[in-house]
Amino acid sequence: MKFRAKITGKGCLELFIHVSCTVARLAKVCVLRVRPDSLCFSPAGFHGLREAGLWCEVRRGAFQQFRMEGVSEDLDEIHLELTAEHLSRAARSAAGACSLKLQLTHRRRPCLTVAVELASSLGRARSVVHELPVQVLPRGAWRACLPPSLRAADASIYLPRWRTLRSIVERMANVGDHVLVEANLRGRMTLSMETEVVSIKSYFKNLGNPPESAGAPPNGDLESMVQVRVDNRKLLQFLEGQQINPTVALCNIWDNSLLQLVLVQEDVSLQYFIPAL
Amino acid sequence: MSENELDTTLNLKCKLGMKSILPIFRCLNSLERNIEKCKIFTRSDKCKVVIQFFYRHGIKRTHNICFQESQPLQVIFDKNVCTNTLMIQPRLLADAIVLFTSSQEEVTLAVTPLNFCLKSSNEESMDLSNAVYSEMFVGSDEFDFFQIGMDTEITFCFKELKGILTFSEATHAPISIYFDFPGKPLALSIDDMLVEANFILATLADEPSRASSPQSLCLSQKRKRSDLIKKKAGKNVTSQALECISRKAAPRRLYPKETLTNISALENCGSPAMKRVNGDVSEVSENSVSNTEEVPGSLCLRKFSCMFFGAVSSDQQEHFNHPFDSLARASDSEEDMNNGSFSIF
Repeated sequence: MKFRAKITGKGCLELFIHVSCTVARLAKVCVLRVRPDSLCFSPAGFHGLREAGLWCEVRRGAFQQFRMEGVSEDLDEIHLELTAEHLSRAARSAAGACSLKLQLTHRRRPCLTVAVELASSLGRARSVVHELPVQVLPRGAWRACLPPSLRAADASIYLPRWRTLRSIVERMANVGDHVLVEANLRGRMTLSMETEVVSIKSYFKNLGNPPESAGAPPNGDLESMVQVRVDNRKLLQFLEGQQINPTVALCNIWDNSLLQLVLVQEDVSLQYFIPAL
Repeated sequence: MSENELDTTLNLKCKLGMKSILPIFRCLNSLERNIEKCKIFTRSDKCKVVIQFFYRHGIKRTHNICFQESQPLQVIFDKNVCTNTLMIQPRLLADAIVLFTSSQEEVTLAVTPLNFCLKSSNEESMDLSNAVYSEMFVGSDEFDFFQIGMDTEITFCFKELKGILTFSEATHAPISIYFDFPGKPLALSIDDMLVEANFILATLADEPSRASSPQSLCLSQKRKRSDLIKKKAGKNVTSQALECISRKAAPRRLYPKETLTNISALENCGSPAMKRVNGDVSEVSENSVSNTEEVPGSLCLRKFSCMFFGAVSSDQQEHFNHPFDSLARASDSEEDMNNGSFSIF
């Protein structure tokens, strides 16, 4: 089993740091799947879609160097379990660095070595190396790490401006725990919540729908709203701290069962599943 | 420094509570903007230190803080004889250690004549299987002065280093680091126009291979306490032990007694010169406290840290030129031990 990758571009580095921090925010322990053409993060110990989960994929194009050799020729993957916060802290030390190198090593125990090269303020070289303890997962545990495969969503819609969405959900979170997300295939989306005392509803229109959303709404009417009620805090956790400028930001809704948020930027994609309450 | 009616200056050594002082000097910005003059003097008749702020328009604010007389702890440590000396701008070192993300308490400094490396303490990373091991190199060309007499690896408290660097960034002088071998204290020193500060940190001793000197009552009590701590706590006992020991001010009580013990031990060995005693006492004291009778391989780090501040002023030169004056002088006679400069807490 071998793995060695290097990131040198500033934008790619920032993206990787961002991904590590997002993963650490949403999961305590994560699984790093090293595949021939990408690096994937998934929640550890995921038991079906009963709880919220984040899957990230960083494609090979983000790395200036990417070499891996899986467990065997048939199973050309490596699954590692590690504490997400270790990775995010190590990645953060690479803010403004020249390069970040990831390598699977063995030093008394299997480790993911993160080596950061920096140029200090006076232009002199400085380097930091972090060795993160990892656990190599046996093949039997591999299936649990894959993102869920589902039928086509009932409604698929592009998200409104990130900041707007986040501030609305933030304010709603101050009032209550649940938020109802509705969308249709005509570019309309609604966020609403209700308590005994107050009800808040935000309307978005002209959002646009992704062309691939061939999913038909339950009753065939494009105008009808598909809805799902989710935990506000989970939604907020994902929305907060996203500083990337996604080229694609959309959400998929399965009527009364699931909400999926998808962000894509260059070689990085994030998908967050939140089950209905 | 105080003045009484006769206008003579007394050399007053006292201590003030940090909680009393800090709030007075809290808002630095507003202090700098509004205050024209600050006067600090003592009223020894009332055991108070008076701090007066003179604002514009004749407004005056007075703070009275009670002090307690105390005999400050003095450390026998001559930084000038240290094998290894480094000098670096605090900003550079602070920037470097920000990258050191380990949350461990101790850090190991490994130096060679060409390299400066900070790394996670081996002790801790071996105990906890889930700990991150980090290593960070700073090029020797970043230092203003880099003199390494011998390859050394010493371990000390990281938190204290971070605190000291934060403090030293306020001055504009480089910070100097003096150290020798593991077990011997490490000194961090800042010498500015207005302030001279010396921080002495204890370092983790190697496996105690030297014979320990005769144990005094205090030492055996201390061992009992750390035995107890080791039995109660499971993992990560070493750091807990040192927390207890340092915070309960055991070293303060111990120190003069150790000196006494070790001097007598050295006398028994026939060591003559005072200078050597000065140099050696600190190292022997460190080792004598490390518990050889405990589980072999267990190490005891005493977090013995103290700070000396000298305000550089011409009147007080003679007292502050030798901040490391030894408290106990080696002598052959008992009478010298009992003179006024040696006090037992």
